[in-house]
Amino acid sequence: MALLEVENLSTSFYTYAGEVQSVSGVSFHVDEGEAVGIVGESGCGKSVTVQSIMRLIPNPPGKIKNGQIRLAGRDLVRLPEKEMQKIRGKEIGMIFQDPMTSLNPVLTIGRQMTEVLQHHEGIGKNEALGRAAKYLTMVGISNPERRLKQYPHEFSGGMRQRVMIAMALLCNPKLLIADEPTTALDVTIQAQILELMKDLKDKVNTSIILITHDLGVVAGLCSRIIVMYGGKIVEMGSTQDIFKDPRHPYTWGLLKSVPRLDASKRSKLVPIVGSPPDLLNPPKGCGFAARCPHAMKICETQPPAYTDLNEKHRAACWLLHPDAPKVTFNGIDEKEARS
Amino acid sequence: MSNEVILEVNNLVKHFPINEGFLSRENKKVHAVNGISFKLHQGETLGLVGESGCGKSTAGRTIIRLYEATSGEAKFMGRNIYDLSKKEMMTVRRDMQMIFQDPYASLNPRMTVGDIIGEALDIHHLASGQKRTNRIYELLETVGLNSEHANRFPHEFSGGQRQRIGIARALAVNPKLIICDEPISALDVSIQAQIVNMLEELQEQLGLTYLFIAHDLSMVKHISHRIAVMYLGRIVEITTSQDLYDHPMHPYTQALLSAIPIPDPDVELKRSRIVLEGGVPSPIDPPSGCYFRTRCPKAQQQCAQTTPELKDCGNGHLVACHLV
Repeated sequence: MALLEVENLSTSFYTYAGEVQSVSGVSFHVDEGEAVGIVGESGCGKSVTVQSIMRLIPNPPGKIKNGQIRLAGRDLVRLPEKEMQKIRGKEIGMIFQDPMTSLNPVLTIGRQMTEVLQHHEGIGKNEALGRAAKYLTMVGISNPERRLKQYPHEFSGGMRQRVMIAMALLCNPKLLIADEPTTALDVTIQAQILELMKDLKDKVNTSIILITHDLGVVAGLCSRIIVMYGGKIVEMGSTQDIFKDPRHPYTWGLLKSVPRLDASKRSKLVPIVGSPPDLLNPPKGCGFAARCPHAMKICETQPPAYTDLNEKHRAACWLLHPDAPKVTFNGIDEKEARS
Repeated sequence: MSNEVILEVNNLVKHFPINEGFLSRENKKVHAVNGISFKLHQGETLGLVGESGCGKSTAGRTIIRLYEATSGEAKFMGRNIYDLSKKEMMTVRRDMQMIFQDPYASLNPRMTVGDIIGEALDIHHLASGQKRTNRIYELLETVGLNSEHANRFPHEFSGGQRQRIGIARALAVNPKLIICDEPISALDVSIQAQIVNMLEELQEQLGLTYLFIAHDLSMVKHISHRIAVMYLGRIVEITTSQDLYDHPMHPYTQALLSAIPIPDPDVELKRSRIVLEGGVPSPIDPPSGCYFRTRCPKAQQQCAQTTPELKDCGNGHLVACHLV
């Protein structure tokens, strides 16, 4: 069953230069106990999408222009701020990108962790500290009683990210949003955090939205992937669909531009030429047309509609139109990389 | 790639003193680089990888003498650069250039792109007047920009374009060796490939030698001929990039390789991961013996007592571990 349904979400920022359409017409859903990855380059609207779900868009200059965000049937967009506060931290937990700046440096970890519990569940201080200690143990922090009395600067980056995860999970949220949770961390620490999130998904049955620009990270953790470009979803499908049978040229570009550690041949990388579109004046047609090696005339004038390829897999590209020339993804094919 | 050694680093050490307490006495030191040795051949790319804080950037900066070495030597084309006077160093710098990590911070915002690139030509008296202008245009075109860009300021460019300007600046003096300090880690994936391809093309055209410092092992493996893995200021393993991936011998390299996610769900599903406990110890007070022993799953008693030296395990595959 769908836990979260986002329908036709559009979020814009009104600046002196004009309206920046960061997210335009995004629809997707997240099932219970499912991990969904959102990938894309910086500025493609992935963070704004989840910040809209959490209603964390600063207004002004930002505004959710359009659309619905339903969490277990309730529309979050129209909820009063008071009600929304009961959802943040309790029903949706969020882990931010930078563990160095998202903790308050002048409060102890214990104080910051129990704040959530006291606010949402109204339980006493000691009970809250006990529960906080239990969660710290769960995320692999030893000696939690002593750790709760420490300040953020006494923790390393990986440890702080663990604290953030424990904090996001304290009220047993149904949905955990992780906005680039490992980007600021080293690979060995990233491996620890990803193992932890995988464990939590299996044990607690939390739904996860994982935002990242690293395709390797989503390949291991997520069962479905959403590819965003220029504020729109260009392709989404099961992890198998996206990696084995991608249909959008942008997804091809992403897959071909990263070197694989297990590739034996020193093959040339295929970069995506040019740079992302200016969302102040979004292009009339397909946002990717200017950088797409297969762009046709129609791509520049009309935005492509979604083509459903199977139950879960859909892509927005004119190449999928029955009359379009047949272009397929080739190059990073497994057999070729291995030979 | 020839057999001529262009750079030879012997037992390079760089410690940073921490001044604290009464009269700012030196009580402690940050052991950033703890005796690294390697050779770099003409036309080769040597990747230097490791986690943050392992001293890889400090090593790069010490080799180009942005920092004075605490001890050890770096022989560039036969001459130890730490023995050179300021004047002699100027001529060496013409052959040895650096590309920095942050393309936003490494370009002066108040200078035009033309002047940023031209500054190197002025300092080394390489060109002036019309010749200087032509050389700047030529360099801009080499890195995939065009001559119109010379009169613009850095803020008018995107991250990838700025990194191109940084590369053009490094190329201005026709260097032989370029130290690339995380040149792509601040860029988006699709742009990273553009820069890496360009670096590879420039190497072919101009016969450049690179010391490529980065933490992204899959990118380093792609661009490098050989890779040196650093941990807490020491090189723990050094070999050709394919050999490092196929036969990693040091437990740290094995863990590092297994931690890197591969963009393929089938491979990810089957892989077993060596997850290291804890984090990197503080370089102010590193552990005795082998620095990695506190996190090493195979550590034994002798690892705490003696420091393992780099040993040749055949075909130039060097490993610093008691257990191999």
